[in-house]
Amino acid sequence: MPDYAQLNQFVYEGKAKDVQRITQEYVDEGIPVDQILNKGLIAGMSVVGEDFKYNILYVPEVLIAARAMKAGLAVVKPLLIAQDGDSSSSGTVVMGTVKGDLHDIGKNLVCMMAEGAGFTIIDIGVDQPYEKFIEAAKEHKADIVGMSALLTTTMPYMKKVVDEFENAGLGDIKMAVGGAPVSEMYADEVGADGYGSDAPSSVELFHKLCASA
Amino acid sequence: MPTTPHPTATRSEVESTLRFESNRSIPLFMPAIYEHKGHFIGKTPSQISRDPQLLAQAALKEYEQLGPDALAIGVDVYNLEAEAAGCEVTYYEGDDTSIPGIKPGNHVIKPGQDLTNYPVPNPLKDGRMPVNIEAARIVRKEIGDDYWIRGAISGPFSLAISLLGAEDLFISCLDDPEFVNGLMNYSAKIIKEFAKGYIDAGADLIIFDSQASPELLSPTMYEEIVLPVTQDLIAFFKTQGVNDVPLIIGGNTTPIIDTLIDTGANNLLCDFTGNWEEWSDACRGAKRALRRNIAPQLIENGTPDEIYAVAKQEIANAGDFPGFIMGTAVIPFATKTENILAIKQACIDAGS
Repeated sequence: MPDYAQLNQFVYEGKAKDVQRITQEYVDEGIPVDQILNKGLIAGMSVVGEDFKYNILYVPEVLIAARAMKAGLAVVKPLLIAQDGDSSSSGTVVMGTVKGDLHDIGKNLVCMMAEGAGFTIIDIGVDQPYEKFIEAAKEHKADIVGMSALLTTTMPYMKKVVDEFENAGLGDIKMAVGGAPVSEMYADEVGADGYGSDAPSSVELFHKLCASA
Repeated sequence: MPTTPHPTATRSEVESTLRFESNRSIPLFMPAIYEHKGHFIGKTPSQISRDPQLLAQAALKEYEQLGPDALAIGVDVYNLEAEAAGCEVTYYEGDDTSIPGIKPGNHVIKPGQDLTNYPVPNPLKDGRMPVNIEAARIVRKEIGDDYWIRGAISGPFSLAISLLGAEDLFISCLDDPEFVNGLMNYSAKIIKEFAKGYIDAGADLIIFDSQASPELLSPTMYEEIVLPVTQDLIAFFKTQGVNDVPLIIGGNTTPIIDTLIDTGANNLLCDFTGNWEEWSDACRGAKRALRRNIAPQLIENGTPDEIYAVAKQEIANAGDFPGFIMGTAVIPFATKTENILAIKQACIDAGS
């Protein structure tokens, strides 16, 4: 009988080696991999997200938890893909920091937490023009495009990306925005489908956007 | 000497506010102008950040057009020390007004690296440290001695992020605290050298350490990792004759007010997202000057009347707080000068 509480705790504490070992043990015992993923890894990471939201955990703790989660994912992911072509993914998100902006701490946190929540993340990096967002969204059949900006001078580019997706006939892809100077009101202004105030809220937003698609 | 139609505070007037002795009716006005400096002379941030003459010219225009009560010399303030130590900075050419920065992956230190004998940059030779130092020297010569000019320096945690990369540093804080302590000490060595360069050029100092904000790093980690090094730096600056040291950490730093007071900096920041009541109570008790920022979005997109009203309200909220400084978050490049002057006007009107 798997002890998911223990696996959750190891993810929470960022114990990557233990997470990898136990995940492998459960796989070897024949426990369904989707169960290990959802009840063991994703459930552990979701507590991390909640505690981060309420300032119980901070960025360093989140990063080591995400690293532990990745160690577990490395065990189950190939099996899930072999089993059913990765239908376990909650959705595909293309993430990037917009042109002129080199900041990536926030974006990377969102990527890690979203991956920890079962999304397939395509991280195109920082300082990205709209063409790169479009190219990646087409190539990976994105459900959502997530844009990040830390500067008031770069956030107007988010509108450019939203507009260019419309112009390219990709208006059905959901657009999400976030970053220190960005707000819900700003998301409405630029025509985005949603705003994430922090990494956990962004993951909630991705779930909502995928459900409404 | 450049002139400004807007009255500025003398050095002794500034000092009396910073030392919590001021009964000045006009609050000090210290806007955060970095990339926006280029706007005053029609140059981009990348252009002014690499040329001491242009940087000085831009700072002098800032003085003339805004009449701030202090100037800060610097544009991309988190890059210079790391660049001098070997990190690659991305600049933007042509009319691109993006701010230079260090791309992820272009850091020079690796996790766990032994930094005992790692070379410390020479501020007179390496990277763009000489650009800022020379610009400070020019501005000091033009404006004279009776005015507060600060050379912008990175705080130790933000510099450590620039040297190593954010994720590696945050993870190392938990995985390898000994390495992080070594990296913080190395950062401090670089900062001290850069500071000496500015001081020789006739400038004081202003420290920026926004990446140590509690929005990223826990208050406990700030206390354990950042506080001792910051205390050491501020004590060192005092031995070099710099007694008034602003420590600027953006974001909501309310959870670490007491720790920031313990750094020894006598001029702290309550950003526009911070809790003014909590901040001013703590600073009143500890006799620390406190800058209150107005949000950059308002200054960029609001009307002068709207901005004036917010500034007036902030000044009213400060009441009889002796160390009050009216400030702004970093002003975006294309902000209209009249919008910034609306804040200056609110300060002047408070004294009439």
